[in-house]
Amino acid sequence: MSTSSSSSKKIVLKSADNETFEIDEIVALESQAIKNMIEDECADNVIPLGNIDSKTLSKIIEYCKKHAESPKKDDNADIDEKAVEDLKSFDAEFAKVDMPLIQDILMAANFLNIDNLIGLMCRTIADRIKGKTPEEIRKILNINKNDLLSPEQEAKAREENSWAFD
Amino acid sequence: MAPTKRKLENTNVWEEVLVLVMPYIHNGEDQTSVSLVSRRFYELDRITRKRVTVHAYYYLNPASLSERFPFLEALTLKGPPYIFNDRGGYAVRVTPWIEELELEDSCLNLKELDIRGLVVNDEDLKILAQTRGMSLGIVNFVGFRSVDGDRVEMLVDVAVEAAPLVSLVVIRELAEIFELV
Repeated sequence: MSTSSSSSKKIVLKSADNETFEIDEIVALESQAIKNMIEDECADNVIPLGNIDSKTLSKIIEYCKKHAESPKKDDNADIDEKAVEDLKSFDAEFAKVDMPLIQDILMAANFLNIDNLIGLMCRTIADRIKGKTPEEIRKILNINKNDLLSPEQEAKAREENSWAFD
Repeated sequence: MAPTKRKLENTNVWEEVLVLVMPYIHNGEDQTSVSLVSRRFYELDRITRKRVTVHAYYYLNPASLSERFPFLEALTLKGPPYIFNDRGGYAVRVTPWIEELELEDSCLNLKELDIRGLVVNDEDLKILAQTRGMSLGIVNFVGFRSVDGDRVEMLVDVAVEAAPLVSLVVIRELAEIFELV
């Protein structure tokens, strides 16, 4: 494990709005997709990410940095617990953003294949709609009203829901 | 936090998000609420729902089950609570559900079947073994009533014919447990 970055290789990511981010390779490797690119030697000096804007990308880099620097499990049993707690509270803070940004981060994490981050964003969305009515969920997720079920469809769905649980 | 510059109105993006999020929504009531949010949500819940418990004493239209949840992997069929079930008062047969599962295109991905407190007869078990024996991995019969004299041998047949079966649990009465395979 190394937290020193003085001698590490750098990777440059370019967002859709042409902002560049220079990061340590070890941070970039949190993304399975980038890892594959580097291993296959497909990555040039600059990796363009045409579907991720700079705001989303900087959040993702913040996440990857923290996770890359955090000691991995069974590196050292003594620091494990504290590091796990630290990472947990980082994740909790990280997820305190508005819903559109959460969705953008989720889609980008999915594209970049960052498993932990996909899970974190999915759990965050699932938590926010927990115990909510359909109407409340529509508000939280900003659902287009044109796509509502017709009264007949809704009656049928409710009838089915009355016998199916879990 | 900074204000976001755009609202997510692109429904295609929504579908991608939801497909990822659905597996994280475990609670039945939340799944039910999600299914009523919009047409797309209903459809996504329909095709992603893996696990359903049906209260077979409320509702007996097995055909609508596979119509609503065609890719179901685990099905629990619940009979009436014991209090009604004792002494032949109010009992529900599993037969219509087994007949539904006999259909080739009904819940093709089903791997787990859990039958609780329903009346099961030999013919039901035979059909189940013949039609689903090769695909069911887990079969549970709990507190079932058999009109043919509680023949556990038939259940063993289900297990023998079911090649991938990893678990078969038969609990006729709560105190009596057979574990096979």
